[in-house]
Order: sequence, then C-alpha cells, then structure tokens
Amino acid sequence: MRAHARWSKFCYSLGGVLGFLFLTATSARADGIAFQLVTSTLTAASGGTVTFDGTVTNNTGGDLNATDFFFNFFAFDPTSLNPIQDLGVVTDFLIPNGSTTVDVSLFDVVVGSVSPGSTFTLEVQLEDVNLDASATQTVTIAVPGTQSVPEPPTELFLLTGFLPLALWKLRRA
Amino acid sequence: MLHTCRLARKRLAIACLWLAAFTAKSSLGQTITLQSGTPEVSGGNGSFTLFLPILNAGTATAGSVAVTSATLSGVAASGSLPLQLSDILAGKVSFANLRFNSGALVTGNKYLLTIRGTYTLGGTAFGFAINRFILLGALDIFQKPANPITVTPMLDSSHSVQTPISAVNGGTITATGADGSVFTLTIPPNALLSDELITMTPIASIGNIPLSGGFAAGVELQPQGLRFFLPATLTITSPTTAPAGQQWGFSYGASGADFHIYPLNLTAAITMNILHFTGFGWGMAPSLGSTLEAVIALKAEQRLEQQIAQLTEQERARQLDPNNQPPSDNPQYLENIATLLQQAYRDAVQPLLDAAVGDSTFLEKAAETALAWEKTLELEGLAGQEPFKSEIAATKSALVQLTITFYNNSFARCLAPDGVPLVESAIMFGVWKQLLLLGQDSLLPNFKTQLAACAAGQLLLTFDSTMMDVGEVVGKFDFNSHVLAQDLPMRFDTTKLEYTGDGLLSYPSFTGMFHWPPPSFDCGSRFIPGPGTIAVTGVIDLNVNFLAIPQPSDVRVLVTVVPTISDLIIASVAGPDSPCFSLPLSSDNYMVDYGILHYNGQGSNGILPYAVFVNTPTPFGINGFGVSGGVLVEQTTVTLANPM
Repeated sequence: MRAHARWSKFCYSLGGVLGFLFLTATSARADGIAFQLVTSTLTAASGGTVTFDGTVTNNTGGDLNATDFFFNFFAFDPTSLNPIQDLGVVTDFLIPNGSTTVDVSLFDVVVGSVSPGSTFTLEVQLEDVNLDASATQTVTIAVPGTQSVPEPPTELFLLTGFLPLALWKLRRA
Repeated sequence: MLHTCRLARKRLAIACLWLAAFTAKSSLGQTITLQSGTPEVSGGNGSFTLFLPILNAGTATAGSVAVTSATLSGVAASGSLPLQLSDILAGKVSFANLRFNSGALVTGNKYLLTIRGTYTLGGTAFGFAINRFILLGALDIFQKPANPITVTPMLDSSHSVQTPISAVNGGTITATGADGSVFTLTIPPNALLSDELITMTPIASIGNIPLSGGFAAGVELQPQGLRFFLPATLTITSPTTAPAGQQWGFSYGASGADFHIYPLNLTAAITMNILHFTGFGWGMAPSLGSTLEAVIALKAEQRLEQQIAQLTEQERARQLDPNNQPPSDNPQYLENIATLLQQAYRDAVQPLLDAAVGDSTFLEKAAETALAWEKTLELEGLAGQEPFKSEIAATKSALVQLTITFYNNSFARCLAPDGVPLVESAIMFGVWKQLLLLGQDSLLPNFKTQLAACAAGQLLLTFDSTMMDVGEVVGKFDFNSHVLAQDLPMRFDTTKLEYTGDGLLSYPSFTGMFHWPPPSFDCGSRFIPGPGTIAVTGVIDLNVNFLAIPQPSDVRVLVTVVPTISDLIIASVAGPDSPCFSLPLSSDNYMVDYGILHYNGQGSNGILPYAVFVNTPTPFGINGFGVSGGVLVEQTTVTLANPM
C-alpha cells in the first residue's frame, strides 16, 4: 500500500505541475485584445459547418475596426477541419478602445467527411493590425454518433500504458 | 474491500496514463503559434504581389511548414503551391511571397487574405490557417512624393581633422569637438575603391533641427558624396546624455539638405553604420514629432534609412531597458524590417534597375540603392534567407551586367573623335575596380589593353608652393621659400593604374632672417636656393560618383608630391667688438619642412596627398611646427590641367 501511495502521490504531483505549466502557457500573454466565445464546444455533423459566436474586446489604446482583427488557427487536423474567419468579412464596424462588441459571428469551421463520434480540437488566436495577439483558446467540435473502434495509435498507447500496471501486478503476485 | 482497493488502483492508473498521454501530445507545454506580420503589397490593375512574414510565436519549432493554399477573399494565388517554408524556429520568421492575378481585385479595396498550410510537431502533422485583411494599392514609403527638409549646420572648422585612408587597409579617423565629444570613424579594408583623403569636421550647432530636445553631437564627413562598399562605423562619445528612447540618429546631405533620422546601432554607445557621406550625428526628443514624421526623403536610400531608424529606435530602447535584461526576443522587429526591405526591393531597387537598362543615367542611383538595401539585409541577418537570398543574387547579376554595358559604352566613347579620354578612363577604371571588389573582374579580360588604348588622357601638373618658417626664437632664423613646377606632364601608367610624372622643380625665391642676440647683428647672411626635382603620382578618386562623371573637372585626383630640392643658408654674424664671421648653417630647408608637414606616416604611401579636381586650381594651406619650435605655414596651389 505504501508503494501505491507513493505512486499516486507522484501522479497527482505530476498532474499539478503539468497542469500549472499548461495553464500558465496559455494565459501568460497580457494582451490589449481578447475574444470571448459564447461556447468553446459545438457539435457538427460530418460534412457540416459550425459557427463560433462571441465578442471581441479592444484595450489597445486606440480605436480599431473589425477588419483590423485577424483570427489565426493552428494545431488542428487539416484533413478534417477548415476554419474560416467571419469577423469583418460581411460588415466592417468600429470597435472603440476600451469596448467589447456584442456577440457576433467570429469564425466558422467546416468539418470534412469524418467518422461519427469523432472529436476535433483547434487552437484559435486573435491578432490585430498592430501585431497585438490575444491569448490562445482551444475550441472543440464534436461529431455525433458512436465511435466503434479506437484509432490504432490510441489503442497502442493505452496498451503501452497498461504494461507497467500489469508488471506491477505480476511482481506483487 | 480488497476488490474496492484494486478497482481504485486501476482507476488511478488509468487517470495517470491519461495524464501522461495528454502531456505527451502537447510535448510538455511546447506550443506552435503561427501569426502573420505586416505584409508588403505591390502591384495594381488586377495583378498584386504579397510578401507576408509568418511568425512562429510559440515555444517549439514548427517543422516542415508548407503553405498549401492562399486566397484573397476567394481569389486563389497563382503560381505553384504548396510553398515550402521549411522549419520555423520558435520566435523566428519566414516569408511567403505570393502573386494574385485577377480582374476581381481592385486597387483601394480591402480583401481577406487567408493562408492555409501544414506543419509538424513531434512527428505529427497539423494544419494552420492565418488571416489578415489587406488594403490593395496603398502607397508605401518608396512610392510617395518627397517631402524633404533642410537644416543649417554650423561647423567647427578649428577642430577639423584630415587623414588619408588606404583602400586596401582601411583605417580610423578621430576628431574631438569643442565640447569634448569624440568622433571616431572606422573604415574596414576594401570598403573604398581607391585611397581617400577624409576630412572630419565637428558640427557646432544645427539651425532648424526638428528634434524637440535639440542637437547633441555630430560631424560632417568629406568628400561630399563618398560611398563605401562595406559599412564604416561612426562612434560618438559626447558629454550630452539622454535616455535610450530619446536618442535619435540623423543624417543630411550637402549644406544640410534632405535631413532625416538615421538608424543607431542596437548598442548602448552611440554608433551608426555609414555607407555614404555627409553629415551624421544625434539629437534628443521624447518622440519623433510631427515634422519628422511627415518627412519623406528625396532618395529611396534615405527613405530606407529613415524607416529603419524608426524601427530600430523602438527596438534599441527595448533592448537597453534595464528592466528587460537580458533582452527578450522580439521577432516582430525583424518582421517589420523584412517587410520594409521587401518594399524597398519591389518599389525602389527593382524599378531603378529596370530603368537603368534603358537609361544608364539611372545606373548610379540604382547601384547606390541596391547597395544600401543589400547591406541592410546583411546587417539585419536576413541576407541568407529567402526570398532575399535570390533577390540579392538577381540584383548583383543585373548590376554586373549593367556596369559591363556601361564600361563598353564608355570605351566606345573614348575612342570616338569627340571622346574625352580622362573622363572615360576614370569610368572604365571605376567599373573595373568595382568588379574587382565583387570578384568579377575576369568579366573584363581586356581591361588594361583597353585602358591603354583609351590613353587615359594626359594631365599637366603645376605645383606652386610656398613654405614659411616663422616665429623662431633668438639664435634661430625665419625663412620663406618658393618652389615651382609648371606644366609637368603626367601620364597614366596602365600597370600601376595611376598617373605618374617627374621633372624639374625650380626655386624662384628663398629669403630669410636671423634673430641674433643683441648686441650681435647680421652681417650679410645668405639664403641660397638650389636645383631640384619633383616626382608626382596621381590616383583617380573612384569613391565619389565615378558612374556620373560628365566632364574632366569632375574627375578628382589624389596627388602625392615628392620634392627633392636643395638650398643652403650661410649665417654671417658680427658683434660690436668682433668682425663678421660666416659659416654654412642649414641646408635643404624647404624639403625638410615639407617632410614634416606631409610625411606623417599615414596613408598607403605615408604621404599626405592633395585632393584636386582636374582643371581646377586648388589652394591648400597646411600648418605645423618646425623642429626648433617655429610655425610652419605651407601655401600651395596645385593644378591638374587636362589639355583637350
């Protein structure tokens, strides 16, 4: 039981440290611009499109237009997702310094032909014409349905992960 | 109980594995964050080119970055995609060069640029998409009409310093201003096309300087318009101080024209890289101010300087901020520099090169602008990066071809009945020397034969020199000697690539006076002039606009004179109770004092030369001190006549 206690303590400590690192890595930027999503998780059918709505905050010290803001997307599966900026495309509007917009369409994500039950994430960052950048946010697109077979890499990984557990059990036996 | 405990262990194990899986996927907090920088847009009439910096603001290397598609509000880029950008290290920038051809793209309208692509992290491929609204057809700094300003510099000639600098070895020249400011110009080897006599004169004040905190320190460097092939470094140490963010470098041309801010190096000391003369210094202001913000210099090269200066001012203040030590990376600085340099290539370097193909009068300006552009790329560490690497190669190739054509035209003019050999030989020599520095002189295999055929033009030297040694103490003597060589032929030596000549040096007058201690008195001392010869070499100054020499009087020659002339002083003194007593006391006085003033151990041949424009009698006044404490005053007029 003592070994178990040490192990679980190690796991929790590791989780705490890494969790801290992860959070600080994404929130370290003290930026003059920000965006707030109504929801960061949406559901889309295979081949469908989802729209992420939200607000944009301008605290840069100067007035900006919607077309002075640009969304950057990364860390996504390019064969399954295609993100498209909406902000400023249909209409341009002023975002005065020190203000936050009402909820508007910020960007769309077109989902390709994917398996039911899949879940996809992508990182989103807002940039402005003055090269200010917001904190990065992760959005998730879930495709309804049941995923029957785990993807080989995940399966392999879990198998590898259980190996120490099995060895530990064997040693105790 | 046992079962519950096992179940709990299993859940715990799964939780730990999930955590391990998650952290492995994010490579222990390593992130990729791709952003766009300020783009450079050129073109019009449905055909636009975009140069877009792509920054990796994350903490890990974005591997094998490729642009797979680019659209301007739905209009796809022409040309071959994907565009491979290779790896982009954390905090580093790469560049995408994209062309769009479509009648749907209208100048003055804004379009959403979307760049899509892929990168790898930890062996896994990911997608990215970056966006930016682009205004097509907006004028950049190189396309706008000029809006220059002129200042009124007052020079402190009493602290002026003149030094010959060897082209092969380089050298250093230092002057100290009245307020104790020290100015040091360091010229690297092979920065000049020919040896040069450089004059550095501190600036006492500048009228109308548009910096709110005023002038701090500066110098004027002559000859006006001199150009370096490698950057020289000017360092200014002055008692005036200001915070880093309030120090602004400046430069101006002849008589204070085209004043503009000039980039300071990113060091605590005030230093600047210089590719051309005239005025340089620094002044103080908390911000640039509306007057300087509105300034648009006359030439593209100066516009590039003022834009780089604005960017480096912010970056220098950031890097020298005591709260930012050691300085953090600022990839956006390099992005902005790169965008500016790409603008300079598209809207200044390339158009000038194109113009020079049809009209050689543009060649000088094209060469100057291209050189400044290339050297800035090298100084910023961008020269080896695409697309600049290819652009530099293309620019060099174009310049070499243009200068060879210019050379051939010059040679043809030289052989024509109305040709001016002196002018054409200076141009041919300059082109050859430039190619020599570029390692391309083999492209002119017949240079020496052709130069000999051009005959280089004969020069006639007149050397009219007076040497005075005055203010001597009791027991010594003053003298005044006048030597003259008139219309001495000088011919161009195609082996040494310089003018040479020698002949007789006459001694029209030699007078003087002894200061005998009373009651002794002079009883007929004699100052006897003797025969002499003169050896002269003349080196054509290729550092000042050799591509734009229209007539002989624009050819500048550094003339080195070696006089060998004898004289003799026979002192005769008598006293109230002693008869007149004579003895030979001193000989070769002119030559000795000339040596003191000219053989200063500087320059490639150790002799201070005279800088003379052809067909322009040029007076020189050179002062110093004699071996016995008297004041030496040389007043010499040198004339190089070019008989047509």
